[in-house]
Amino acid sequence: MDATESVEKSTLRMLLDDVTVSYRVHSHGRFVPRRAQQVEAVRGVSLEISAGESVGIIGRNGAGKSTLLRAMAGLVQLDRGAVYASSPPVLLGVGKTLVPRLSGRENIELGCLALGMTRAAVREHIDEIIDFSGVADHIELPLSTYSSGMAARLKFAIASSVDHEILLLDEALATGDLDFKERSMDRMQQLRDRAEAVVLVSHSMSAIRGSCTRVVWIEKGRIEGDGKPDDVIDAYSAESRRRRLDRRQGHRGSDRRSDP
Amino acid sequence: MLSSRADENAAQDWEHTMMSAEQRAHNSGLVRIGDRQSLINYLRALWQRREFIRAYARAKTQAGYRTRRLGPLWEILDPLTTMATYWVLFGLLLGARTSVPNYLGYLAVGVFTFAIIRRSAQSGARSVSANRGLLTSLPIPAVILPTAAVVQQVRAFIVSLPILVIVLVSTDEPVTWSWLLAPLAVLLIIPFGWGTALLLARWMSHTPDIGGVLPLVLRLWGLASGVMFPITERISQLDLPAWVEYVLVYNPGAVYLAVMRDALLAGYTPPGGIANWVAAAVWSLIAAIAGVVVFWRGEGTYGRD
Repeated sequence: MDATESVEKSTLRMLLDDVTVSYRVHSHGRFVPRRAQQVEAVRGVSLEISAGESVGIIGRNGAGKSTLLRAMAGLVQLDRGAVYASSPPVLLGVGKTLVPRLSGRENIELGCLALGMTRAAVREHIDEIIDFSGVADHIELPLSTYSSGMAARLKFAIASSVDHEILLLDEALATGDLDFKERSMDRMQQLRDRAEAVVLVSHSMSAIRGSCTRVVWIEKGRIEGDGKPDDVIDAYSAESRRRRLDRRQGHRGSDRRSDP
Repeated sequence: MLSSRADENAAQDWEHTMMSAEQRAHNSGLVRIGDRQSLINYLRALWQRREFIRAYARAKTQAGYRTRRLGPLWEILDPLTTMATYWVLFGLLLGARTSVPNYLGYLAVGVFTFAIIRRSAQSGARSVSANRGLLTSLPIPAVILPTAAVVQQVRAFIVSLPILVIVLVSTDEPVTWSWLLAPLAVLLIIPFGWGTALLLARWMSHTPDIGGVLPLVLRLWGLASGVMFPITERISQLDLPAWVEYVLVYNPGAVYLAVMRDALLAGYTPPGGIANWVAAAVWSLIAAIAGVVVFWRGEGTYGRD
């Protein structure tokens, strides 16, 4: 008993216990707001992640992958359950967040300060980060003028410049051109070597296969599969194929009445 | 009998699994994520991010300048145009010019001082609801945003300060020792503006509609606090109940204007006298504590879509 406990102490990095998240959706009437509706995005997910694991989360759009990732980072309120971690997980999302009106350079400065760098460290590393992001030509322009791919690259460059014990990535590898993809794969490898646990949400099965040691398949907010990448991805692909086939046959059967 | 036994078992099972997850996490040295920090740790986290706050406030200011052709000149033009408008409306047309010895000086102190409160409240209120993306993409406590908004407004006030001095000196206002009290008055206004920003930021984060009425409410508050002319003197002629006058004199807006005018204007003694300084300190304390506690209790709800 003591032996297993001490083993646990050294390896367990994250523990999700019955995590349930729902969103309140306000449906509006013509003039006055109607009552709120509850939509469950994540339903009772329990998961254990150990040191050195890099877990890929796959599933269809709207399955609850990103919400689960945000729940892991403590960014959403849980309706039920709890998330435990050995240190605060850092979530690197993508998209035009940060501060749209500020330049790329200012966003790098702010991002690095927020991640805990000192001013001196920021000054020291900023050129390197700009270089890696591949948006050096636009670095003095406001972020609002960036394409979403450029913004995502900038953000990945900022976030991956700092070491994290637990790293959560949302689609970070699916952005950018081929060159950036290769560089970010390398960077991911480095991060995984340094970070103790990585969780990655992606629609790119090749990215997942290439960088994950374990895959969790989420369907309608629940865990549908959990295991070796090849096994889970194969099962998921088979299910997707079956669904596509069903839909095609369904269309043929139902005539065109349901089409708008 | 049987079913209650089963229920009991189920309850025990449930308790056991709950216990074991929590226990296991605890045994493995894991901490619960998303729990609200203690208030002390929350404030400590704010202090640790002071470099970020400073950089963010400066960057926001710069970005604001870039969108306008006259850039930083607006820091001066904004209070000057407001003053000019009030001078014509209240000083000239409504005859407030003669109600105090140095009306232009009175107006200048009022406009510049109330601007700290008004602009802190306004940009603080927006700071969280307008920057949700920042909260979800950077590991920062939400309290940073309203705080940075206040820092930004205080910077703006400091930039425009020479104009206030020029107006005062050019209206033959004597430079006296009591001017040294003005920085103290500003130091009392800042925590009040911060507390107000925090309260409004939490409120507006779940009721964005506030943004629609806030500018009007703030201007009316300025009017009631005597930014444009000594309103209590007019009110006292109306034969209203005593408490109305009491509220007008000791509402935070009036109190902060009174201490600034007390410090800077030689020929004007605000109603309330020395009690204003006590009231100013009390309001600062109340606003800052209430703001921090209320905002802290909402932490965890700000990043939500």
